[in-house]
Amino acid sequence: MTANYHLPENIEQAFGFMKASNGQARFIAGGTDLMVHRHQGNENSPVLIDISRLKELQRLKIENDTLTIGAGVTLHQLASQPDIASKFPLLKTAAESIASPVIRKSATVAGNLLVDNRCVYFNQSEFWRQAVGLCLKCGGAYCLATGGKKACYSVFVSDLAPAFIALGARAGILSSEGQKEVPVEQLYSSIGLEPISLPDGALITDISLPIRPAIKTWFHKLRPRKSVDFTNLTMAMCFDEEKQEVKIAVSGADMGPAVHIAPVPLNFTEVLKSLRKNCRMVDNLFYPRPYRRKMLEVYLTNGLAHLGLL
Amino acid sequence: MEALKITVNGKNCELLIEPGETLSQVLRNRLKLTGTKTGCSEGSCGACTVWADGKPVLSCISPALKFAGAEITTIEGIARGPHLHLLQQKFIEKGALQCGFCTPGMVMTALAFLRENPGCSESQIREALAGNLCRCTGYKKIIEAVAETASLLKEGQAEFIQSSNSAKDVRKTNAVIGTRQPLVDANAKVTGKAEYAADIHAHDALVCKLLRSPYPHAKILDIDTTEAAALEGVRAIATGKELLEKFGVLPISRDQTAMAVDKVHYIGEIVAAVAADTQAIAERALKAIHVTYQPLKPVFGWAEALRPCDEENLIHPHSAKHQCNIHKRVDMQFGEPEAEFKAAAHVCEMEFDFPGLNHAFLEPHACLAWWDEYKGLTMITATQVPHYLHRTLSSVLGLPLSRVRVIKPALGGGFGGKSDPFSHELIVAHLARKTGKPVKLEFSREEVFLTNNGRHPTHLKMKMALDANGRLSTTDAEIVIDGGAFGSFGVVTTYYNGVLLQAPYDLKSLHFQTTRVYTNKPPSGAMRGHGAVNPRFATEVVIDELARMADEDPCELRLRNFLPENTLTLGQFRITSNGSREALRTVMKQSGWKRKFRKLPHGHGIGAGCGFYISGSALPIIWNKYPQSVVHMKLDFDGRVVIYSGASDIGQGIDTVLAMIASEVLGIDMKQTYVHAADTLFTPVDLGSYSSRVTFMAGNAAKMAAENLKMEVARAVAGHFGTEPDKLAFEHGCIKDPASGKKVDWAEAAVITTDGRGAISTSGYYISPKLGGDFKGAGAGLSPSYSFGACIAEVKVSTDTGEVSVLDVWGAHDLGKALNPLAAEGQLEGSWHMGMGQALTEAMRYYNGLLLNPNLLDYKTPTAPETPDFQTNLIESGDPEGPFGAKECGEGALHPVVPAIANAIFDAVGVRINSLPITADKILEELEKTALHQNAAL
Ligand SMILES: Cc1cc2nc3c(=O)[nH]c(=O)nc-3n(C[C@H](O)[C@H](O)[C@H](O)COP(=O)(O)OP(=O)(O)OC[C@H]3O[C@@H](n4cnc5c(N)ncnc54)[C@H](O)[C@@H]3O)c2cc1C
Ligand code: FES
Ligand code: FES
Repeated sequence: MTANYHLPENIEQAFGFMKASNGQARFIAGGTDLMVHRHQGNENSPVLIDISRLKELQRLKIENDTLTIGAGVTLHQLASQPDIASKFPLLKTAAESIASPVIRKSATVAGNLLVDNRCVYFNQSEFWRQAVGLCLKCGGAYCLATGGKKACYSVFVSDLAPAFIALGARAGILSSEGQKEVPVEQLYSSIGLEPISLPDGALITDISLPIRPAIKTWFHKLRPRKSVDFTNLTMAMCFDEEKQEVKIAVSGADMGPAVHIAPVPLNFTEVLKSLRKNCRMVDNLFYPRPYRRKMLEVYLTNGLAHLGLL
Repeated sequence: MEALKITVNGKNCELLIEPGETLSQVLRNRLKLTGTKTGCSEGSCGACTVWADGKPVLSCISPALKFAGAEITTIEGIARGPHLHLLQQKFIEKGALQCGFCTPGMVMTALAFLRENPGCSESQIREALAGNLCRCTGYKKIIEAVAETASLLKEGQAEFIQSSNSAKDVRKTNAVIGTRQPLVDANAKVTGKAEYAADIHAHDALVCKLLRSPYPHAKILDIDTTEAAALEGVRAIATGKELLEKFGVLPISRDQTAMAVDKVHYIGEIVAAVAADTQAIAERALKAIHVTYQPLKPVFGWAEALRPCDEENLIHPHSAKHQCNIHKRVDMQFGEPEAEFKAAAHVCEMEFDFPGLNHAFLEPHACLAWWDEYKGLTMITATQVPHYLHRTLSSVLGLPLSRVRVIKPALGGGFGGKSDPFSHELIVAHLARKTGKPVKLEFSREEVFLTNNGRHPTHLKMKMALDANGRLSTTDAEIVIDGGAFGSFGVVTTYYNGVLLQAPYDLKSLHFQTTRVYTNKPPSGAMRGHGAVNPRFATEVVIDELARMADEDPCELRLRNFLPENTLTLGQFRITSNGSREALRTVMKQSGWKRKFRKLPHGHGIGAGCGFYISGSALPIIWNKYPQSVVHMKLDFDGRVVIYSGASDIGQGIDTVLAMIASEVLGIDMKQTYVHAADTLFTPVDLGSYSSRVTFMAGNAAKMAAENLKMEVARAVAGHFGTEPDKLAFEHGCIKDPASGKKVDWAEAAVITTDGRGAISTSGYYISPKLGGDFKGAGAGLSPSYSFGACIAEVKVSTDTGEVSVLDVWGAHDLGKALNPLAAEGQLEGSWHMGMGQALTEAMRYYNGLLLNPNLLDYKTPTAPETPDFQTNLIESGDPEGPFGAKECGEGALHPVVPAIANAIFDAVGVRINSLPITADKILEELEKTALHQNAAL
């Protein structure tokens, strides 16, 4: 149960509350992921610090060939910014592939990057998880999806992350250790139990990405329905014509993002092999594993063909 | 507690709330603004959408404190006094709502979207509504309402307009039936005023929560409630031993108790119940009840259930005679199939697998009961069958029938899923009596799935023959249906799977065997199209294949083989009106069938399917001589005709049809009628909203009651005029004697009729004629009339990924006569939408008896963006016995669409997926096999 709900007006206040909570607090932005986990009893922090009123997180600006997106910008705002749509159609497509239009009006960019990993044995009510006999991610002894492995195979599902990673975006992080900036891929541990590797109580402040005119991009998301559904495989690609290099990032396929950078001309078989190795898929989403593995290849083919690289 | 200041619909509110409360909880429970609905409470249905500072948000996953200082707008804040927003008015006029449970959220989402995107296109509207599920309408009419509002607003029409519940005022005799009438409760539903079971607050009510079994099959060794009972605020705890009387909707399979007694049969079965002061206390109490189980061997699949089983591990002892977990087996034969198979030109046999399906109505079950020493038990509950619940409450609680009252309030969708008397209803009634206080229960979405009673998982083999003359000569089907843990409607399902194969095609013989097994899963029961959907799928796919073998057009093959009108089928179903030919011809023409079939490029295809269904079961579930439906009409000095009917409006619009019938017969405005329905204290019995019986049976009863009332009024007015009753004309709200030119209006007529005798009441009833043969099983599937229909679907299939898009569906349904075409179209479009879900995405998936997808995000009903714009055709064959010629249209339309989509996929890419749903992975796998096969052949 929530004991305290704070609505700070600025970052300083937010950190004040965080500090005072002794590690008991959690940030909440749009709440569209967090609140579902709380409903299911998978998240029980007694203190919530609502960061949706922090003006510092709302910036959206283009300066010196860099696009900066505040962590609290909503997916709706991201998708409806004409500048972003023209310079980064990839971001618009990725944002619009997430959840539903109503949810996108609350859901934020950072919230999406930090969306919890998913697994059919985990995203369930407390009753359900007790009945099945608790998987690793909710305190049990082993992973049910794999029939007994000692590692958690919950899937990393953010759809923005692959897009940001492909574009070479960096995340600004503020914590008690100070402000730093890391490539988006470094936000993740690829460990199912603790998929996010941020310092305790850290806040993502913004995402910045270089504006490069000579890029071509591609994005696709696999899901059974045309909207609302979480991903079963998301692939984003960015071909940098100057560097003659393609960066491919995948979610919905592993405990963290799978990333591959390949020089052009590329060796398809090798790229596929490397991605396959980094996509440790198991049967814990809607589509069965063999199909998702097959789609990895199909998406890779289609994406590279679209970029004129096959 | 924390203080929260918000403005809600312009009113400043200062509240003390728990920090964890969501906005929907604050709105519904504290502010009693129950127009905001909760269909899932976890962000996946959109029903709870409200605005915060003008922006739509899902109130169920929004902490209320997030909105401190904000301006909240709910559905109650949209209309301005009597002036509705144009969008609300369009929802009413266009038939964009049926049960109305999704409507508040839908309106809030759509209106916010329209304000931001005044120049939107239809596809943008579809996308905008993606997160708002509707299970009733198939979205078509919703999208029409939004699109029309957008264009009217663009033309400069005022945003707010005087509300009107009728598209046009109809005051003429014989002019109401057949007109597009908005539902009589549409205004209430579109403004958030309609009260569903969970919206009704009783003073001082206790909250009921249920403890459910985490074991699929286990003995209960002990239930220790001492710790829970000692908790402050816990008022009562109930366990199975208190309600030992078995129940079940069918008298022949009363195999369930309100709570498990000595053993549990599936994960989710109710083991104990708590009534407490608050939800939090009730939840704490559940955790303090300690149950000791001793696991038994569970059975999950149909094949396993057919294997020999020792008595100790049988799910139900009455299966012992089969020595395995069989519940019911039916084997019937008409004619000599073997001979036909031998003589056939083509024989095709295929095997099919169907998963279990859930109704996925938007409103979770909820009920409220209270006990009064004088009045007895009153229960308000989300039910399709107040009558059977009335009987069950009486028998299980040991109360005389005369001490039980069941009321059905507004109901948020049923589709068969609220047509059993339920354990939780019995428990809540029991707790109300035990505590002397009102007790209320609301299901979570997961509990809806665990209660289930949805479509049976089915395995079937279907073999059909085509003779040298192109006649479908025989069918042989071997069917196993998985009933889950209890009987429910299962015996009927067992029969329907087979007997409903005897139409719409004119077969010479038929054999089937259906076996219903018990498994340790949530029970299966009746769901839209009950019993016939899966074998219909198989039939229509096999016919498609036979046509291919004979190298002819499958539609022509069907046309040649349809039964005629006025005939008897093999098993002596009496077919009267029959619009199957017209239905199929209509959709063939409209879809450009001849131009497209087998002619579209690879990856693009078209397919057809047909079907038929009963229009009300001719036999009541509990055999007795009481009519199947009775309607009373009362006329008093005020001129209002009050229609009392036990029929349950579950969104299909029966209340509206009853008012239309009275208005038609009496020649009065619908506004002079008032329907009081589904309240067993006041309304005479109607058996309920199942088996597509309501319009046919309650409609006939209402017509008779209205004619009797007309006679009474005619006698009185004739006396007044000094003429004969049969000389009078009832029209335009007046009664005239054409000979003398004398005329009174309805208000005067009411005074004349009631003078000297007071209010008058008349009655009408319906009893099916005696039908059918006198062999065993002859009663199954008998109906006074049958509906017929056809669908053609066009799809695109990606050969890369196997993904399917349904481009369009053309559907035609013979419903005899569309009493209210607006509502009838809605029934058809909703059926096609639901069938599309079955074809492509929906399945209940299990892991060791535990449902893997008990929520609306993982149980995938089609959303607006992937639903096509259905082309709807009403075929009016004029049924000789239906009211004004009408017959069913609520279920039968679902049958043809599922195989039509499958056949279209075959036409597109040449693979048959006979295990539903037809998902991308299965298609791709088959495509690859075919490619390998072809490569090998090269
Ligand atoms: C029906 C439905 C469908 C959905 N579909 C998708 C989908 O297709 N793809 C997808 O990716 N997601 C989906 N989601 C999940 C969710 O809506 C999105 O991921 C959303 O972007 C999360 O953003 P939020 O602001 O609501 O995050 P919140 O729920 O507020 O937070 C999510 C996590 O991020 C943390 N956090 C948020 N902001 C910060 C910050 N600035 N610094 C540090 N930590 C922070 C929170 O503490 C929390 O752990 C869906 C959700 C629902 C209910
Ligand atoms: S109730 Fe809020 S989305 Fe379903
Ligand atoms: S009208 Fe939409 S769910 Fe019933």
